[in-house]
Amino acid sequence: MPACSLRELEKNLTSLWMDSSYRNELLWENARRPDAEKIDERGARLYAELLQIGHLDVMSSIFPYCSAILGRKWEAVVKDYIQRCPPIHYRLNRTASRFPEYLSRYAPELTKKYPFIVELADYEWVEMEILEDERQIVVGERAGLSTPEDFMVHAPVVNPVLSLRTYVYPIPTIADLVEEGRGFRRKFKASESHVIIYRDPLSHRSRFLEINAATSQIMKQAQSGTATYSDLIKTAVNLAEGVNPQLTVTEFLDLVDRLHETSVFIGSKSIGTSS
Amino acid sequence: MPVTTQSLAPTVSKRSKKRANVSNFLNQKKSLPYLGVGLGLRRELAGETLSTRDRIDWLELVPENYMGLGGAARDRLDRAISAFPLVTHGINLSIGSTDDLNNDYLKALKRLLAQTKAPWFSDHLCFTSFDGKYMHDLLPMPRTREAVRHVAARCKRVQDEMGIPFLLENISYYMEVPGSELGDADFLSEVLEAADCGLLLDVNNVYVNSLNHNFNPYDYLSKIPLERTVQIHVAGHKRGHEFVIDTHGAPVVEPVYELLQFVLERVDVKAVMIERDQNYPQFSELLDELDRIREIALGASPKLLPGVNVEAFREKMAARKQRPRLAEKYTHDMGEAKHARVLSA
Repeated sequence: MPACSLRELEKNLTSLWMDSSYRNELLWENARRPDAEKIDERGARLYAELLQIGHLDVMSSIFPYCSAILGRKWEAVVKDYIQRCPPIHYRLNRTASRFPEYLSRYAPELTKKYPFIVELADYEWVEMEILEDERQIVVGERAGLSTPEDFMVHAPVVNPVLSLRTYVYPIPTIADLVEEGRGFRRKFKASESHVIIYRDPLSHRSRFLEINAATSQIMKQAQSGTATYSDLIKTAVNLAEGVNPQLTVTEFLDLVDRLHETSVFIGSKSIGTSS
Repeated sequence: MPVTTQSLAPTVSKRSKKRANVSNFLNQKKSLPYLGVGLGLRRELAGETLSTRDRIDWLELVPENYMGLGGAARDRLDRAISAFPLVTHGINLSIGSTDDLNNDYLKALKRLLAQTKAPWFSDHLCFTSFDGKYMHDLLPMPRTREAVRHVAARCKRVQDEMGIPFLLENISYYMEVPGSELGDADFLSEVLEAADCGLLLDVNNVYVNSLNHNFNPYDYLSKIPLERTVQIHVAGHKRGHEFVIDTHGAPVVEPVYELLQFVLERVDVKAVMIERDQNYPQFSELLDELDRIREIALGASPKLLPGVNVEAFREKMAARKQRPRLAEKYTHDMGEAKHARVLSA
């Protein structure tokens, strides 16, 4: 008969493979045990290594910018993250879901040295969420906007697999610099950035569109699903205080074209009345 | 250790014969379709896989890569459903865990099985989670009598809930688990029979385990209820300093083909497939490996290949053998470029 229940055996095995201090202590004691009771040290270390490599692989693939910035610290950070926030979902990629939260709660030295790191981790994680989002993107017809009435009765349909983010730091710029290998030792000053992260309905890839504060406001209003093109123009004019309204309208129309072309808007719907 | 079909052993264990006439599963197995020779659907090879219907009979997919996912995964799934017979092969059912079964997982799996119209589904005889935490690896279980009862009960439950036959796969393992009361073959046999479910026999795992744990793989096959085999996995492995590792990242070796032949000559098998998960070769090399399996199946168990024109296939293989073999050229898995940032206004 085994000395332990199945539950206890699984608990011990999990600790042996996942907890390095438990493993080292057990294997140190193990050396003095009689052969018959010995734990297979080589096997135990191999499983520990395989698990660690698996965690490191998935984290590095989801957070290439954070891992590049943290450099040699990355492996230790991932190890600590997995200890504190172990995977609780059956999908491997979800292992990474709590990393931004981990950085802000448990990594004060990192957030002090790299005050933008939590936002950068969020930026990288949102990309994964967008890629995996279950919702389907059904692209519809775009209404012709040739008369004032068209603006009043039609609303843009916003891509449902889209996240609008506002960051304290210039995260898209930091990401670009890291990608080019130029961001490793740079200090970045706080400078608000706005970005639309969304999934392209044709390629299924994630896209990043950096926008200004006014466009961010317009996007929030458009996401409500009840704002007509006319409502959005009003918002644009109000936000562009002191600017010639005609110029603002022209810029707005260019923006609408761009948002439709890039599949941020995936069609139009009729909601308003012209009266 | 010589690993050849010379070391022939009895096919069906006495225990299995005794149980066979009370098995619902074995009756069910008779009505399962012959799928032929298939391939695991992998993102990196999806384009080529999905456009090669003439040389791939069916596909196996990892349900966790599709359950509740949209985007590219959903698109890939839809294309696979429209072109191939599919079965699912899970990695995180965690059938051996003493945690409760994950109901969210089961619901998502059931939806996927309905979508794919899979004739059966499978997972591994292992545990992958404990105390609500997933370790994302196939971990060997303590092989105890309690574990047999525990796993068997859970197999019955998932089989009932999914409504189609469930297969358990023998895993590769790299350490003897402390507290075990049974050997690997006995543990697998007792679980399969107590659960009355099917076997997904991974012949590469048998071979890898035989090297790592120093046993004769044919002895192992003689001890397990081979007649429960519905599907067979074939794969490659890597020889390290201390262990042979089941990497699914190398060509299939001859002794593994021999084990496949040994099984096909003895029991009725419905489907065989190659698992390739990394270090991807030219796609044509994978297709050649599938043809090699077809060649073995034609000699050992032709009914596995219902759609194959035997004469035409033999002529094709004969012609191929006359050509000089190309040097092995492997490409590294670069994956998809992660950040396809095309817009930065």
